[in-house]
Amino acid sequence: MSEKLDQRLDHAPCGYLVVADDGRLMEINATLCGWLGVARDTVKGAQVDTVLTVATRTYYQVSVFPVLRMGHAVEEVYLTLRRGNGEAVPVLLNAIRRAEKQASEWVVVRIEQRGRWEEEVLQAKRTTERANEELARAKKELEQTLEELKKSNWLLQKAAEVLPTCMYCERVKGDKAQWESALQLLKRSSVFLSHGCCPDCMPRMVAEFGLKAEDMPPSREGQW
Amino acid sequence: MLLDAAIILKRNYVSVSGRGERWLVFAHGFGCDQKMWRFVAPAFEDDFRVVRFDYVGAGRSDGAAYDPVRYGSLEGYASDVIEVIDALGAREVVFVGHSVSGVVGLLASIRRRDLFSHLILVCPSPCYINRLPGYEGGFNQADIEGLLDLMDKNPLGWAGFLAPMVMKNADRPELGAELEQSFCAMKPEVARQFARVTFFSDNRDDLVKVQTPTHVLQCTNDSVAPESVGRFVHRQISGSTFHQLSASGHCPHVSDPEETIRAIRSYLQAARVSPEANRRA
Repeated sequence: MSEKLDQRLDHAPCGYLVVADDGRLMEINATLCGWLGVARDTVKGAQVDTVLTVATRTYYQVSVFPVLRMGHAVEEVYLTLRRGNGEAVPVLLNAIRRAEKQASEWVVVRIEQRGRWEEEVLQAKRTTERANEELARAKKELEQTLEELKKSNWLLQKAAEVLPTCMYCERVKGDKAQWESALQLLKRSSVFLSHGCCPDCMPRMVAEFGLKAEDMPPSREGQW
Repeated sequence: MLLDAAIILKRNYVSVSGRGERWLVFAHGFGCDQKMWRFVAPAFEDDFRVVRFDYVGAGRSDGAAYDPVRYGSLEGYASDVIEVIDALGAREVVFVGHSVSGVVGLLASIRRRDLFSHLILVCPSPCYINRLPGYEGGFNQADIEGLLDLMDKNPLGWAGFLAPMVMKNADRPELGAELEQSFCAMKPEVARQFARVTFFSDNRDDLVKVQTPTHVLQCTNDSVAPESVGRFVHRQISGSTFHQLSASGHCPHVSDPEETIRAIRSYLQAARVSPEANRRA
C-alpha cells in the first residue's frame, strides 16, 4: 500500500520536494522533474537554490525558511522555480517542517495561466493606485486654488455691498471680522498696489526732489 | 531633537534581558524581526545585558512612527540603533547585526564611535547588486525587481501567509504563546520600501571609515551574501577578523543557532569582552 502511494506521489499532479534545513534537496518527484526539465540524479542532493530563481532564493532565505524553522507551516506562497534552461515557472507553495527530520516537505502547483491573470490584475491595481495618487494631488491643488479664489472674491463681493467703517478712526471691518485700515485690507487681497503720486500731493514731491512741475510727464489721469 | 527614552523603547519594542556589565545588542535583518534571535540571544544572558529590538516598521514596533523619508535610506535605520542605545543609557556595546543590519550597525558606529566597542556582522553585504567589473554582489537589477514582484504577489506575506495551523511543541511551550502574534509581520508598503533600501544600497565606500573592531561571520552556500562579499567586507575594514561558518544559507542564527552561539562566544573571548576572559586576563 505504502509503496503504491509513493509511486502515486511520484507522478501526482503536483510537485513534491523534501528540503533539509541546510538547504539540500533530499527528494523531488517525477512530476516536478518533468516540469523543470531536469534529471532527478542531477538535482537530488544539490542545494535547493539550483531549482529556484535568484529572487526566490532570497525570498526563501529571508522569509519562508525562518517561518518554517520556527515550527510553522506556510500556505499559498507565490514563488518562481527555475527550469533547467533558466526559464521561470510560477508556482504556489504549501510547506510544513518535520522537526524530527530537520527538513520540510513542499507541495507546489503550477499557476502559469492564473499567474498571467494575476499579473494583469496587479498591473491594473498599480495603475489604479497611481491614478488615485494623481487624483488626490489634483484635488489638493484644486482646494488650494479655491481657497485663494475665495479670499480675493470676498473683496469683489464687498465692492457691491456695504463695508462697515468706524465713524471715528475710519478703520474697516475686514473679511475675518477684524478692524483694520482699508489699505491693510487691500494689501492682504489680490489687488496689486503700485506706487504713485496724486495731483494734490504733486507740489510736495516736486519740493522734496527739487523737480520742476513741467518736467513731469503728462498723464491721462493727471497723475503719474 | 532628543526624544523621550521611554518613547524610543516603546517605539522599537526594545527588550532587555540578562545580567552583566556589558551590553550585547542583537539587530534583525530584512524580512523578519527580533524573534529571529530567540535561539541565540538567551545563551548570552548570564554574561551580558542582552538587547533585542524591532526596527520601526517591523515586528511589534510602533507602525505610526514609520516615516518614508527617514527610512528611505539605511541611515534612518542607523538612527534607530543610535537612539535605542542612547535611550538605554548604554555605551561601548557589542553590536551583532544580521545581513543588512550589519551595514546599519557600521553606519551607526561611524556616526557615534562612542556607542560601540565591537561589531559582529553576520552574513553582511555592503552592496547586493553586481558592480562590474570588480564587484559581484550576486544580484542584477532584474533579480531585485523579481524579489519585489514576489513580495507584491504575497501581499499577506508579511502579516499572514502562515498557515493557521499551530504545531504543538511540547518541549517549547513558549512557541504557543508567541504564535498568537503574527510572525515576521510587516505592512506590504513598508516591506517593499525596506527591500528597495536594502537591496539597492551601496555602502562599499563606508567600510574603510569603520574604526570599531569588527568580526565577520560568513555562511556556507549563502545565495544572498556570498562568501566573496563577506571576504570583501573583511578586506575593506582594517583590522577586522573573519570566520567561516559551516551553517548553510543566509540565516545561521535560525538554521544552526548552536554554531552561531559558539562563533560569537569565541570572538567575544578572543576580543576579551566576555567576563570569563576578563577574569582570566
